[in-house]
Amino acid sequence: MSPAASAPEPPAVVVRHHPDAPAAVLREVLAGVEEEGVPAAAWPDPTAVGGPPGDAGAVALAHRAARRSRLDVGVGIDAAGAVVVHHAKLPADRPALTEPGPVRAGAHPPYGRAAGAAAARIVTGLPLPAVPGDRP
Amino acid sequence: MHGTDASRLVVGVDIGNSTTEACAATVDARGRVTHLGTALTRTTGVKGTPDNTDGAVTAVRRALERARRSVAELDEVLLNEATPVISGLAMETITETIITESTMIGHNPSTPGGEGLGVGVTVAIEDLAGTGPVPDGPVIAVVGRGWDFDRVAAVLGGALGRGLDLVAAVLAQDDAVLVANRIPVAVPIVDEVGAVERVPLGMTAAVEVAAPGRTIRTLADSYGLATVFGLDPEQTRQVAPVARALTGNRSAVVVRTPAGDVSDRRVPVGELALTGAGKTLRIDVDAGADAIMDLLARVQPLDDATGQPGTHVGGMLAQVRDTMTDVTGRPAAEIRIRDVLAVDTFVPREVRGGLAGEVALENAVALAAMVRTSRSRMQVVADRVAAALGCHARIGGVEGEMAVRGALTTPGTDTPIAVLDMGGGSTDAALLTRDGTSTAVHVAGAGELVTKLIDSELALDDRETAEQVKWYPLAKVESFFHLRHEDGSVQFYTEPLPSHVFARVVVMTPDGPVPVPTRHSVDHVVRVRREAKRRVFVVNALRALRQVAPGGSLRMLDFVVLLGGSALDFEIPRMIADALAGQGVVCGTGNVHGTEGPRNAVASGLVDAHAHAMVADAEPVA
Repeated sequence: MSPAASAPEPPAVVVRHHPDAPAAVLREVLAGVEEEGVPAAAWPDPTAVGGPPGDAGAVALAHRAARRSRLDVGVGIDAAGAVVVHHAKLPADRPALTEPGPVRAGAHPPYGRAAGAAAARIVTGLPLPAVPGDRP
Repeated sequence: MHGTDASRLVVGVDIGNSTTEACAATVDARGRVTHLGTALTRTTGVKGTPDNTDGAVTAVRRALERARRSVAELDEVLLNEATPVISGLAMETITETIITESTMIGHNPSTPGGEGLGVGVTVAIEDLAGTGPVPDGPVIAVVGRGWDFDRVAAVLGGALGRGLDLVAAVLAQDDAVLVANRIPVAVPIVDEVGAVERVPLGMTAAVEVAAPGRTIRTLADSYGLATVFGLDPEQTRQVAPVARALTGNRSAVVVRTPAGDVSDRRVPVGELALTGAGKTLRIDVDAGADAIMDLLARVQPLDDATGQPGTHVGGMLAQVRDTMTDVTGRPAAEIRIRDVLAVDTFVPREVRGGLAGEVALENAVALAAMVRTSRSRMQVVADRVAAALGCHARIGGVEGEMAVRGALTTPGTDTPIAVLDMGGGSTDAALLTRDGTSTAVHVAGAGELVTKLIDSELALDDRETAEQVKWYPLAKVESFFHLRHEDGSVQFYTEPLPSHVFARVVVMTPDGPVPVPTRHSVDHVVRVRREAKRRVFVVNALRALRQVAPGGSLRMLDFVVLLGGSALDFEIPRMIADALAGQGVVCGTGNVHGTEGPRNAVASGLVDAHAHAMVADAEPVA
């Protein structure tokens, strides 16, 4: 089920998420990428379940996603809904951007949207949007 | 006096508008000067006021530290007679763009949806929901805040199924591409319209989105608007400003309202009265900087400048006078403005009545004014410095003359020599002729005005960033690992660049790249920076040098030496040298004593003058 590394995939921002990641967050991340006009592909990451401690974290998911992406850009979403944007050429432990969790309910843009937009803009080479709560 | 055989330890101190410089030296009995060390610190308080004492004392202590001498050994501190020149700044916009009755939306969202032109009647999306009949004729859907993109697409899809002729949509949120991808028809969609609730409903409107890389054609053209809305010649004349305001956008919305209009209003700024050479001439400030400067040239030397009370210019000059009153302790009525520099500028301002935070470039005039006070309070500073350091302190000489003396130590210079000291508040020029006479002038406008122009023209609203844009070259971050400098060269980094600078225009400060908050390209920011420097420093350099040059002719100057902080700028010396190139003048950055660069000219000049005087005093005795 996990797309084999053999078949060439269309260029896309790859979103890898924990199987239990909140569906609403995943939807907003994908919407954020789409609004910027960049293709996205998402799939649950089975290794996020029961992997070695720490391996299921959003940062590791994001880095694996980035390395799978033909655009070198990936997004990871953990079970709690934390969103991380990564680039394949960046050190594994230093993601491009982290959206740690909803700042407040009903905030606009909805939680996850900005991270999705940021992932797309790394591809298109546009300044990243300000993400509330991102650590510098 | 101390023993004549022992050499004396003296420190020359130059208190400038923004920095205080010190130069420690020993002078032996025969007047030979040995330079020991220099120091530089921020000026405390306004130049020429007792507040300067702290900065002066700090500079002296540091210079002595560098010289490895103690304060106890110090014989004398020499202070400059600070030119009693203080400058002030003010800026006013002279045009204003106003949109009435929500006529247009022209804010250029980054990601509009679809493309093409749609003309129809505005209808709220709430009226398209449900299963009821849909309005006849072409419809532009207006979607408020809080509508999810899937729901918008579902409602529009349902309405289309019931026969709706949807031609375009206007959205509050950044969802245009998402909605465009989810409806079965291809229509132009404009999003990020903040005040979408103010879009008039039931009105004929037009929405245009251009293909990526293109700009709109129909709505940015007066006859295009006339065709779309069926306007007569008189109405076409009225909508011409709308077309002009939308030129260059990728997307736009125009709503035809009964009395809607976009107007370019000229704001009456008021009259400036310049008095000098026995006459008083008046000019409207909105005539522009060139006209003001021409008028100023006709009333040289300027005795005073006043603004018409109750107008913007009146307020501008009153503000300058108030500052001077605080500094000099003299009543505002006694303050005379002795020079002004007017600069045309433009200021991006949010358009009044706009629905989406539209910004229009408004014309503005910036004024720098300079006041000559009767006498600075430097004696008070000298007394306090003497008390703090336990030594003698005296006022050693006039700043301009000292600067020339210091500049003459630059290798390769000779008299007649002119110095150009480009500081923070004023630009000063001094000339020393072959027979030893010197003249000095001060003109309004220098580094502070450049910073202000950069700040407002780029809408940075942050003096610190503007200052950095002025001082350091720019670059564009192109990936996490490389950036391209403004000259096109590329620099790679082994450590990834932080994401907050990714794809941004940055200033290359010594602490690393700092992002400039702007949507403009590097080229645009470079242009703004250079223009600001040219309009202030090049204009003032020529203005000041003409005033000291024999017969007002720049050709009579042989050597021009640039001094002051701005002489360290990476492009100003070249700009001034270029401007003087045609006059056969040797122009370059000062290098005091062949080591100090353009700094410390006045402080070293004070020491040299002191040594000179000592020998002159001693000779009759010996």
